[in-house]
Amino acid sequence: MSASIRLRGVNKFFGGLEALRLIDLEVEPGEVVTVLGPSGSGKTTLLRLIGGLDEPSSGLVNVDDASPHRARVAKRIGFVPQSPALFPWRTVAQNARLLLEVNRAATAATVRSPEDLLADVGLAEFATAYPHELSGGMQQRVALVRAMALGAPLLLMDEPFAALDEITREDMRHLLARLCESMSTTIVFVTHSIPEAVFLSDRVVVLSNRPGRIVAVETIGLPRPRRPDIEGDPAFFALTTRLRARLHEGADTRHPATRAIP
Amino acid sequence: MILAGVVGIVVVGAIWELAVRLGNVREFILLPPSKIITELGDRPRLYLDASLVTGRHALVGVLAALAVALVVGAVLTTSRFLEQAAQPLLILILVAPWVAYFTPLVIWLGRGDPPVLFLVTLVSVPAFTFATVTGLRSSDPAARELLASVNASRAEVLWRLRLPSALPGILSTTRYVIGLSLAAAFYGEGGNLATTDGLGALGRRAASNSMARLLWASVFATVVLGVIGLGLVLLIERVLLRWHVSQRRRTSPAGATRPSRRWLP
Repeated sequence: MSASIRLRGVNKFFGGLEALRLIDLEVEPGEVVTVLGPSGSGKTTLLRLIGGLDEPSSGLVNVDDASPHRARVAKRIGFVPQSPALFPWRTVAQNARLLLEVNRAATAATVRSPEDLLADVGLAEFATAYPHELSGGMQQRVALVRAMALGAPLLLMDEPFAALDEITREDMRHLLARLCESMSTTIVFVTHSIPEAVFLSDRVVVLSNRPGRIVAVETIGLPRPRRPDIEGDPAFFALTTRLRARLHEGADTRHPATRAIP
Repeated sequence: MILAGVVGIVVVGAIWELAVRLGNVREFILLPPSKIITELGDRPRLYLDASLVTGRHALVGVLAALAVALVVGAVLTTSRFLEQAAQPLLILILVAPWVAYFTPLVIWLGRGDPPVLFLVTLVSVPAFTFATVTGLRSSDPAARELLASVNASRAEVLWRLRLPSALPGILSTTRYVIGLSLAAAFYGEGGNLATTDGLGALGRRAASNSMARLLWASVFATVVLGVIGLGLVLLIERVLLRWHVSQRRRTSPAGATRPSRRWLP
């Protein structure tokens, strides 16, 4: 089960501040697309528009040929925020079930139970622990399980590994790839990390500095399933190098007055 | 914690006893604790019955105030305008002398439990309301967004996120309100609002008849009620807030309470 996404001529202003300019993007069902861009380029804003958490100032956003709001009401979107946002008074198992308990009328019969998913990410023995008893990486795994337990056809992930150390971050992207490859879910992933983008994605969308515009769309042709050793592959290295160049080109499109002095 | 509390009481009691005896303080000004305890031991039934009356007034008043504040707080949280509009009234309730309520209360509710309960409830509402509004507003924005992503209703957000987020502040405020409610119950009973004898009525009678032992023993019994109330609140905190940072005994440098269970990543 997967969803399609279509954005046409999307602009977003916050008062006088232009956050996004003329975004055109299509994501096919089951595709994993990463949005890569410098800080303030509107990555999170773009994700919020797709998730129906905000409205575009102009342009069209569709999820499965309907408004994102409808997808949100029908619980067809799993959201993983930047911070794990676990409820500290709920145990790991209770947190994993949280989204199933809310808006019950729209809860679909899920393929995998939260308990199974917790076991999948190595947290079965921590089901009765509270979030403060977990490390940052473990908390983020619970957040992943919470979103995946919904069985939603679309997963939106907003820099979920941003606060983790490099080693944990690597482990988490390998885990996420393994989980995602066993599903056919459409995923939009926001990150600053180029290796993360290459490892996880079918396509990478590069945004410029504010106002965020799409400056490049790179297709990642690496074979699946992807395993950690692929990061040593010359093709992986070539893709990260090319994306880094695209990211710098995007960063250089900022107004001359705000450009960093070399 | 209990041992520390007992040590604190014993030390303060010893200093009090010594100060009164060495300073030759007159009984009516300050009675030594030994004589207060003797007085309580001589007429236990009198003080127990009065304590039950005052304790009931305070407890029912606190619970009613909490219920009112939760509803009012939830409504005020929906609008900054409403919240600001309610501020003058809440401040007025806080600062108005309690004696100003006596005549209207007796005319409106007559004598007996209702006016005392109303007084206790009224003076306890502002503190609970402030705590509720602040607590409801302090829930994690990321968690609110998460619930919005699955179209959670306002009631679901209130029940599942905002109220639990407000709980530490509300319980902390309850510690203060316990004292406030006992003072209001004592004052209301002493102001002749009640028809059943509570500790306040005993205190009023003692003050009118210069009975120092009765006065100090009724005040002491009120303090004991406060200590019991505070103990109950602490117990409730231990049960309901076991997840909260205030209840964690040991912390590792990373903040985990059970380091042996930490497993990276």
